[in-house]
Amino acid sequence: MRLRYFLLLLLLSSLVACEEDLTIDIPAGQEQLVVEGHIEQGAPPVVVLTRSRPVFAGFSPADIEASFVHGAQVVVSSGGKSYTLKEVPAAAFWPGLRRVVSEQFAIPEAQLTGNSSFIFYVYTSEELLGEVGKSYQLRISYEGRELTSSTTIPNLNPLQELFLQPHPDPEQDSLFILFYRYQDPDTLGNSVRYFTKRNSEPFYPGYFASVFNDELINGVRNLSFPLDRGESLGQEVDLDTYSYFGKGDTIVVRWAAVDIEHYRFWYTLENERNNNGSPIGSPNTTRSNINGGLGVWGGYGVTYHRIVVE
Amino acid sequence: MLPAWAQDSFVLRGRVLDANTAEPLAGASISLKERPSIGTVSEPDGRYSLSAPPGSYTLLIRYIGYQNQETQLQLFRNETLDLRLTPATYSTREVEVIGTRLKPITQTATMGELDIPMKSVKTLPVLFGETDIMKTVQLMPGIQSGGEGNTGFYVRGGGADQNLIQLDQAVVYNPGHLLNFFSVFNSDAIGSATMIKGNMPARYGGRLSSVLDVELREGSADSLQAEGGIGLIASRLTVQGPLVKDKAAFIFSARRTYVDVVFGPFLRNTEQGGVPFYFYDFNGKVSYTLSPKDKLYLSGYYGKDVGSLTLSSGRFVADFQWGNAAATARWNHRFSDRHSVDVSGILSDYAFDFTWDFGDITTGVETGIRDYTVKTDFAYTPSAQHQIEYGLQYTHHTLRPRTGSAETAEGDVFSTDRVLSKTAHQAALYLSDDWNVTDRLLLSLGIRGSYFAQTGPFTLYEFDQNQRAIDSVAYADGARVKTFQTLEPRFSARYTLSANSSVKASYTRSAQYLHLVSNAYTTLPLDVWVPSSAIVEPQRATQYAVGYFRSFSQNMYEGSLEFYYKTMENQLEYREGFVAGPSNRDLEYEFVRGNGESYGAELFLRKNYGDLQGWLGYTLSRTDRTFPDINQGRTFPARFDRRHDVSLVATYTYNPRWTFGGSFVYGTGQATTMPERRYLIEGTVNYQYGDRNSFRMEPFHRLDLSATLEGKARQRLQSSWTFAIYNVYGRRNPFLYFIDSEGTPYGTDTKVQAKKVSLIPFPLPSVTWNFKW
Repeated sequence: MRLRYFLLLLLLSSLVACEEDLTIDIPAGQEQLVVEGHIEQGAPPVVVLTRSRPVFAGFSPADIEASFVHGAQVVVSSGGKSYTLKEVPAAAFWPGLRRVVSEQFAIPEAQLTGNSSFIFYVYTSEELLGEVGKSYQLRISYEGRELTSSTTIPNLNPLQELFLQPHPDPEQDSLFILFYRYQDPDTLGNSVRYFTKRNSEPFYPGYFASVFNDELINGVRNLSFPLDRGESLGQEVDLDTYSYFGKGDTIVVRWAAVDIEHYRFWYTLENERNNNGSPIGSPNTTRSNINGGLGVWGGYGVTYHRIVVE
Repeated sequence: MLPAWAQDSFVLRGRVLDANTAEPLAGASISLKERPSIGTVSEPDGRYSLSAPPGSYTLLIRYIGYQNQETQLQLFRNETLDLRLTPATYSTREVEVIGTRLKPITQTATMGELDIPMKSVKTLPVLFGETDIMKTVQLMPGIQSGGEGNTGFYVRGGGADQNLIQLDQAVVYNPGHLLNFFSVFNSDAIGSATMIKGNMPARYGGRLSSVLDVELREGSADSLQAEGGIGLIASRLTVQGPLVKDKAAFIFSARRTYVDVVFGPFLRNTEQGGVPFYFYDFNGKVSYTLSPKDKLYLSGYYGKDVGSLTLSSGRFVADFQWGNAAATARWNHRFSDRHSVDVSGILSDYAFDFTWDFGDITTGVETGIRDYTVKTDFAYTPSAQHQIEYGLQYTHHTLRPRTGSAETAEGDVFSTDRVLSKTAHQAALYLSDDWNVTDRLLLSLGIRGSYFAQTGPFTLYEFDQNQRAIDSVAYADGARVKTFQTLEPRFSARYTLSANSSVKASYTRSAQYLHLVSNAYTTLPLDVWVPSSAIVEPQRATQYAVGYFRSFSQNMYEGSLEFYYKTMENQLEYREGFVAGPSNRDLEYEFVRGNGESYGAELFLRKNYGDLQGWLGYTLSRTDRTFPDINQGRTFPARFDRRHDVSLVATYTYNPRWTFGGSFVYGTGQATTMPERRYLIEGTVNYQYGDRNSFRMEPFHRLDLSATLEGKARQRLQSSWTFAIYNVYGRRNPFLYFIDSEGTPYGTDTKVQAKKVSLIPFPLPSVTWNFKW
């Protein structure tokens, strides 16, 4: 919930503005390689490698297929040992990999099975499992291009508890607000990304803002704050039900400690998404932690927290 | 061989006054019929002076709305003569556009100086019928509008923060109401407005690009009068009159919008439930003649934008307000006819405040600035050849950065406690001389020495790459942190080629110690002014200009062609990837610095008299910026770079009752940064952007028309109706381009579409009723 967002609402409500489709020619720009890679404790590294495509290129299965980069050399190193990741299509995922990819990339597990037409490839390794407190270097070589990055799986930073409050309007008695209670470690720089799962849905990250940082609350003892329900991106939210959970829901929160560069990637990316089309935000804010490419290589230190709405 | 005395000139000086009200008349033209090249224009307080060789002359005084007057003059020694003009008709709403209030441009010393005639401000069509000097200013060559309906402006490639905007000498830090759709200037209260777009006289300082100097009217000294207007979204009322007959007068104006009332019903079913938003402002001025040599002025401004917002069934409740306050006390003393001084004490204040409750947490964000200024400005005319100005100015600045704090229901408080107010001192000394070297050559020489000091309390932090503070230096209250000084020479020359043509050249160096960086399309109320400090260097600029000025048919037409070249140092932008979120470190750490360059040609043609009056302005210009840390160090166009900019303005007096006005503007499309490629993150579209500002939106153009009907005079009441249509042919000017995407994450149904946002994409009529009593 940003101040600027509300000033925009104000601007648009005070004046009559119109939005229309536009046909414009945009230069094709320079193709970049895009990394979407994660590692978390007890799970293998997963790297999705794609290429940026012209902005008006389509989304047909052929287009999606064409955006994946095959045959790259992807190496993750940690503590002096290197692991070369191998490419696996979604149809060949084993159950453990299926669960990790579903949680990290917000894809329903059903789509990641052999009989699904879903086009998705990852680079992974069964020899390496993430460990809390360790750092992981990523190196990708592809057709003369070299991408590098580094991330850590920070120490776990679990929340203290989840609790619920009723909707402020008494007539909406089936809707509840989820709160969390949190104690921040004394050191500055703790950052968190959260996802919520409702019943059998996949884990979805927070819709407008999925990351927090302790810059202003360092060392706080007993913070309680609402936690908006994560939703599938790509669609407009229904403001009447946005953020609320319903009576009978089983809620699981995936609460992942992230390092500062990883935090900054999501923070700037979400800012860019929220401000797209706004006259008062600047575009182009996403800050990648990949040298030589776009995207993110980010570690997660994950804890899970469960509550049932009764 | 002429006798010695014949080689001398004598000075004629005095005041031009309204014969009925004794109100001083600014901008009246005074000339010698026998020597048309000698002439002048009265100052804002009605004073004028001119010098001529000894002789018998006919003095010709012209001022639109008043009867022309001819007076015999024997000039064989220095003379003082007050000129009283009789109004031409009973109506004061006589229309003029850019009338004789303007000095013939061939005769002024400065370059790029324009008086803004208040009467033309009131006749031109504007959005919602709310007349506004800042919108008239935008129609001048070299000055670009800040966007559709917006009062912000950019001068010769300078940023919006580089304009010095003063109201009775008090700096106005945020001149906009309602996100800049209206300015803080209530036209009814304004006596004069001068725009200087370069070559600022040495008495002005602190901004790089321009000066908009606005003076409130003086109240009528002999009778009580009221005037005002009722418009679509705002109403105004001004009252003026004597406090002590012929000694003291007052004027007081008030204005309030009722957007909240007018638009509310249309939005009742939306989530906000209406426009919970309005603004108001007050202007007042008292002038008191203490003695024939002493005059005291007290003036003030107070205005606020106020609003509130409730969302999510009351889970989110916000209140916000922002506004300017200004107060000026000025004592004018005349030592002699040749020497006078103004001593002023000025307060200038801007504050923004936003608080909201969300859940159990109350959060507040605020920012602001407060200045206390004292000034002493002398004007000295030792002989007809020299007009000297000198003075001393001092300002104490307190700048409150954007700070926030939040309190939970349990009483925990989180705040940006490392971000503290900054204190600074600014002082300047200046001296200038307008020197009539010969009949043909006028040199205007000025020098300004400016000094700026940042003082404690202040803590300078050093951050590591993760933005954690690793070291800090603390400065005690009052300790000097960093000082800057700049020598700012100002030079211009006018050479008269003939009675109706001249060439001018100028050189201006200027420094700016307060900065506002905005990455939005418009300046916002929560934008933050920051001082030069241990973190930020002053901005500096050098401008060169030359021009040719000509009038035709006894100043019926005039025209000019000016060229300028300007370099700007230490320009500021936000670093790439900057996100304006709550932060516990000073905003200045988010700036990067680079240089700017602007050059262009400005053509101006104006018809001054007759039923049809108006002007054409055309600017061809280019503005670039080069920042080591932006766009990989490659030069990029400034956001307000505009190759072509055209304004055509006309008014036509059809008969004494009907007057028509129109304006047409055209501008090259705005430079913007567009995505060139896209990629998916978590199945959702993200963008890879092209070079900074490398894409151009469609050109901007618009026609506005107005018609003013003078009512029949009934007793003392005079009234008029103004009908206007904004955007007559419904041009959908681009305000914003962006690429939108929608579809299921990872889905083959994802669509990517370019969109254009237009504000006011249809003809918008308005009607205003004005009255005077």
